[in-house]
Amino acid sequence: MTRRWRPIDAGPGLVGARRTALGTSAQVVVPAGAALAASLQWLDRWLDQADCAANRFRPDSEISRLNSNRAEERELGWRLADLLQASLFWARRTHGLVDPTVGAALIAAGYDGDFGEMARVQTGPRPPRAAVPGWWRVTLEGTRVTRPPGVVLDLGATAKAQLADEAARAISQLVGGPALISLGGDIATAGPAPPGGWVVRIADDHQASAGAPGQTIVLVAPALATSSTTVRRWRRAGLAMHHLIDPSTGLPADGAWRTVSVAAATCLEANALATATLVGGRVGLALIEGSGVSARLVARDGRVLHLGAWARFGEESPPLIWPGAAA
Amino acid sequence: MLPELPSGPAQRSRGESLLRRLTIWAGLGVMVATGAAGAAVAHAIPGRTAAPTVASASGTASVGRGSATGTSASAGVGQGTAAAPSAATPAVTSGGS
Repeated sequence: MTRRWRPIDAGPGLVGARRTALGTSAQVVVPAGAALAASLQWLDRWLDQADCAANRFRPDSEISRLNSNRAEERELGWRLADLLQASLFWARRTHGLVDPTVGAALIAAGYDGDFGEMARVQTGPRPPRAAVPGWWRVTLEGTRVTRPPGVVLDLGATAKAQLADEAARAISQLVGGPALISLGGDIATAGPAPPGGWVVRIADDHQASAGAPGQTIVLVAPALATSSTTVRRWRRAGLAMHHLIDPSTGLPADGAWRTVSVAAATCLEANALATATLVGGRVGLALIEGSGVSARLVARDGRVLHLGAWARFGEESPPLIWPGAAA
Repeated sequence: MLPELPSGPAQRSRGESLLRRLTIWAGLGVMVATGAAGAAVAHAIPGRTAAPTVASASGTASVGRGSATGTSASAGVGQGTAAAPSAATPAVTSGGS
């Protein structure tokens, strides 16, 4: 195990490790006896590659250089272009609720650096209420991006989930068996599930203790993602802020839900739908119900709504969760 | 042997997505056919639409609550025998980040 990684208790017959990556935590779980060390070496290189491309808080990253460049057209490396392509795809699919042009709004709200080093109480000006530029103003042809000057891209709403999907497939291939990857609580699996299934805890915060309110499930779906407005919070000009921006206002989303979990065929889809529901309320609910996925939504007052197969099980049992409609 | 780091964008297609979904449903079909407590799961096989349910509080259901359904869950992921899901440790936590 490389020095960056720390072992985790992943349950019977499984081994896992965790490290800090992409401004959050990365976790990998594979069967005991599988090539965990080799998996971690691969992940180190792969995470570094993604960080160099898409970390908005690294001044030397490709996305930072893109955001500071006033030229309307620019050629991108394949990694950033691929992440941007997926972001634009899901912006369209969510009717703009998950929009990569929220970067300037995030900065105006005070989210202008690594969250771990950011002041939790800020005295800067109140962020303006103004719609973000809009994903439709960004075009990508191959690896050539075109956007108006001043548009600041932030791929935080989709990149981790997409990377989790890709990493799970690669690690499953490497170990020749099941693999689970979590990037900041966005979970992707690949290969046959291990005996007993993938047991996953759901909570407001992916770093919550085992006793925190939530639900434990056996995950059958390939992927599960949770978005929440209860994490990455700070105050600015006396107002409560968080990291999920409503593109229509340019301000932190202020909807009925505080935490949304979605089980889907890919982590990217799950995360996009979860974030869209937090931001877009009823529109997000319609997207979930029209997408054939399962979801668990926690309202601000703690009430829980289940959709799809999750509606069959509710909060009790059996906690066997897959994408699809309830019986 | 390590897989090569990707040197280009992943090839995605509607076919791939469909294949992944079909794999899920196929797995669920096997689960129902072979699971010791398949009847419980059979009732839960998707295909019909139900109204959403609303719970009154965020309970903390353990994996093993309800022995029949807990067993079917274990069988459903391919074990084929009744495991002890109540003792299962969550591998990871999904939550906001």
